[in-house]
Amino acid sequence: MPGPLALIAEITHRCPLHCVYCSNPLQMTAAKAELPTEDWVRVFQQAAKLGVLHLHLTGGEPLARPDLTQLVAAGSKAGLYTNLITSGLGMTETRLQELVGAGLDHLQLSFQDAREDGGDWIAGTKAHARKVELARIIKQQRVAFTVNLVVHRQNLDRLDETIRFLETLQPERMEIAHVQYYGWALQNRAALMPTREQVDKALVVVAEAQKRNAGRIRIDSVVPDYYARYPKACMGGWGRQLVLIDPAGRALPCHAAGVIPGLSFDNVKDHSLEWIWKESLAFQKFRGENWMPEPCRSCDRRKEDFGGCRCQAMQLLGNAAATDPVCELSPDHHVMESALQGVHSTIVDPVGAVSLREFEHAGKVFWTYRVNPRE
Amino acid sequence: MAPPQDTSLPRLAVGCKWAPLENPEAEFDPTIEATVLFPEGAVRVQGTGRAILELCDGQRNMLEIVAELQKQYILVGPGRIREEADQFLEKLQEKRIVDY
Repeated sequence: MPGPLALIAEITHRCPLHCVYCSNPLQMTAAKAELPTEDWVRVFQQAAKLGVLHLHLTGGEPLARPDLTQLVAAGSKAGLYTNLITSGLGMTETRLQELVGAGLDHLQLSFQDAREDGGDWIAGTKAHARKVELARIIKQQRVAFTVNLVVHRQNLDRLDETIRFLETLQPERMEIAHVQYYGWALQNRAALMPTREQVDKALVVVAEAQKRNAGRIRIDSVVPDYYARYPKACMGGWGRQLVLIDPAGRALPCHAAGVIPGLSFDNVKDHSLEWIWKESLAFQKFRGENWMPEPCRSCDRRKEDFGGCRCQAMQLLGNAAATDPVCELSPDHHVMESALQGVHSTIVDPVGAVSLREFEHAGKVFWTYRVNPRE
Repeated sequence: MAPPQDTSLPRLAVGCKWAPLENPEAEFDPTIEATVLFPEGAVRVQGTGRAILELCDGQRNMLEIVAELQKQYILVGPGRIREEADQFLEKLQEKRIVDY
């Protein structure tokens, strides 16, 4: 069996931002239950031996861990391509120099909007101006720089403006990602789900941006699967390419797998990564094709999309072993239509508010901000 | 974007690097294939592609790279080698894997 290609290390759930579409689970790991440095170092070494190429350090906000530089050094020393996914809050020029010195290969900085008021509204805190300042500092370091923008109903109408703003930060790469509806995003789906018209317009805007920036900025986009005809190849197939370790050390096949009842996730404190990958029941559960129902089982697309997303099947149908209902061939595809029926044109214009307090107020009645885990 | 010039110094772009070769679990033969890692992805190269990319160290210019390749591919004319190297590097430059 081939080993995983990437390890997603969710090293903490603590975060200074409260983004309404956060992919973290609603039940978060408390700070005092986080894996200590030496456990992470051991896992990175095991990952490299298992054939992992990329290490993605994420959270929460990874900078919330004071040992981040040690973790980057350990990943880099093990031979892994080391990527930091960050909001930028908690970064200083000195700390960035240390991280790059420790072998950081790539830094992915999140943006919520082109405008400060809009960005801070989504994040539920003052963050935007700091990010802009940080982008300038990152450009002075020898590290690959990606800016990431999550798009949804509240910011899609300004997508062109936002991309043009992000271009001025001169990243090598830009990621335009539609919200994926898990965790906090699922809670806030009614306020975030774009309209079909917005999705269609966004495709054109992104294609134009790709053309405009060819050879300068590589622009990757993640399309919204609720409007697709066929499901996404979630995680490149269950237990096939990726392993995620949560802050407490539990190994999951994807970010959201915790929503599937009856699965238990083995911990890297008790088992080697190799054992978990090859033997743990959670990774075997939906690996390969034996679990597949019809229409997947006899469908040619099963080798492309692996039946879609198990967590989405769970969340929308109450059955993790069903065909992803996004698929138009699914007997349950009609649930997508009902999920989209709630989508109307409510767009709140945060620019009208004069203070963060007002945004917070608008947000509180509109959606649920992500909270922080216990200490 | 344009193909590299005679004096261009092609190199792996920032954030792009060769994967370690001594990977016991690798499914491929490291004497044939090598892997370049970049943000969110990896590309395996072999044959002429690998030969070209291994010469892109930021020190050699295109004329020197073609001269080196000529030693390895003695039956291929220099014009053909240059053409292939230009196309290959331009494609990788668009993907932000190579700079020149």
